[in-house]
Amino acid sequence: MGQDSLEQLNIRVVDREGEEQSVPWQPGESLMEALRDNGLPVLASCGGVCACATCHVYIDESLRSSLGTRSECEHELLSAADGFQPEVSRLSCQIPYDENLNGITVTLPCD
Amino acid sequence: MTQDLTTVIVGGSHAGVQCALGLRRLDPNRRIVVLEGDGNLPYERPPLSKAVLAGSSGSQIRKPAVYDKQRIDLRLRTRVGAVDRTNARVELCDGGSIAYDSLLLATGTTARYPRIPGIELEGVRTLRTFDDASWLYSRMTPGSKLVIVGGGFIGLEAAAAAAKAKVQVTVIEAVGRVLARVTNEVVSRFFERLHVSNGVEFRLGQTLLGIEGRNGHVQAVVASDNTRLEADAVLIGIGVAPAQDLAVAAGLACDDGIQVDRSCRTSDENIFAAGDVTRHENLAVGRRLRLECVQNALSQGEIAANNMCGFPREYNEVPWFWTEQFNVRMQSAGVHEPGDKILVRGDPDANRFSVLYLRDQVISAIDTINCLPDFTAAKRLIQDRSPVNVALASDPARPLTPLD
Repeated sequence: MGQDSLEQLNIRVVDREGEEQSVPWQPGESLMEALRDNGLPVLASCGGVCACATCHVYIDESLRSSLGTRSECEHELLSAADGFQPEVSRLSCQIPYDENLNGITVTLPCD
Repeated sequence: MTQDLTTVIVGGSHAGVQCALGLRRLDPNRRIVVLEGDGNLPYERPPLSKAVLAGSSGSQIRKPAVYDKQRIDLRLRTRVGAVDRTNARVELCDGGSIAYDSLLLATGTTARYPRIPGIELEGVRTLRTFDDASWLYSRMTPGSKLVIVGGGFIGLEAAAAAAKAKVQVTVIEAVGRVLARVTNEVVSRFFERLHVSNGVEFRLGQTLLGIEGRNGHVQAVVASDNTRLEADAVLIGIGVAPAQDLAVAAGLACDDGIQVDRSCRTSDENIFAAGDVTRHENLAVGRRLRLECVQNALSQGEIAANNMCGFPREYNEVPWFWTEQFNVRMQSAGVHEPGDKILVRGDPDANRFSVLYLRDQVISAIDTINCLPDFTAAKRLIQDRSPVNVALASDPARPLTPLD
């Protein structure tokens, strides 16, 4: 299936102040890019190569199985990160566009 | 009605783009102009010596639509000839000028070239821009011969990419070990073994006497022991110099870098500088220094944006760096000094270890090889200047924690 047939998704984001907003997620983008490029304070220092944990987010616990397991690299970075929650913490740069993720809620951890 | 403020940013770099986006977030009305000499949309530099040398087309810092949406007036192929501080204007090389209320210099660095015969030959190049990286990738044909001058991050990352592409690679390094400027001997030797086992040849403790060519194209190099090495291409990776000419000409204080305070302000209160071009103060490091890394560029871009908008913020962040060679990733945090004690955690032969740099009981820096939990833990200890139990810190089975 080519990207032409894929659609923009919309997700709900809860920012660090607890404010909620709707954010578009375009085909081809990682979740980090969707968040960062829509003005959310996701620094993503390393540009998305799983090196820095500055794109740490919390994902609905119900999505855990559909997202698959973290790579070793992602797990090692996250497990020592501030605010790590084993059940819901992910690096958003490691989550590619996926139509099944339409409508999910993503929460930014407090600094 | 008051006129909206204008900020001009020289350099569509990591620092320049971060500052522009920060300004828009903090000030919805400001006019933001980014001037970039390159014809490409602002792109990430770390992949140039990594993914781009493996065939990737690179990564833009932001999608093109972001600049329109954030009302950032990004002008490519636009070079700045001078800063007229008296009239608060930047003068463009192709004529015209732009008035500013605040100005950011985010001009980065330029690659150094050795002054040797033959340096002007075709096939001899540095690795600084996307075009440089594309050129090098196009030369990486199996069986061809690449000579790399300089065993720093750029030289070694390029060597790894070329060796993977079955290029015959020789690295000439003036000092007796690779990465000597950035790391300790244990890590240097680790990377040397990694490269040698993948077919890279080293000539340590040697420099380049000259480059020979035929019909204007490189053919060989002559090393300082008078050995002649055939070469189809030569990559020069002997470091960079801050691109501070505009600042020097404008009379701003410079000393191997544009001098800025912890607010990223130069000696002119309306002019800021950010990124590799600055010699700066960072509370987390405790002395003035110049850094070449993305973390510094992003942080300083953000700090400058805040201070331009009247939100005082001082730079206080542990610098960090990463390199990837042959699927080995080293991540380093902090800044070490010659007097620091070295402590090895784990076994280099197991491809997973860390080296701590200690000043008394406090970690000043860490190099981690395939060992990210140590990276995150040490970065926090460095930031907090927390003492550690030195006797226990060498045990890789124990997490790095502050002294109770």
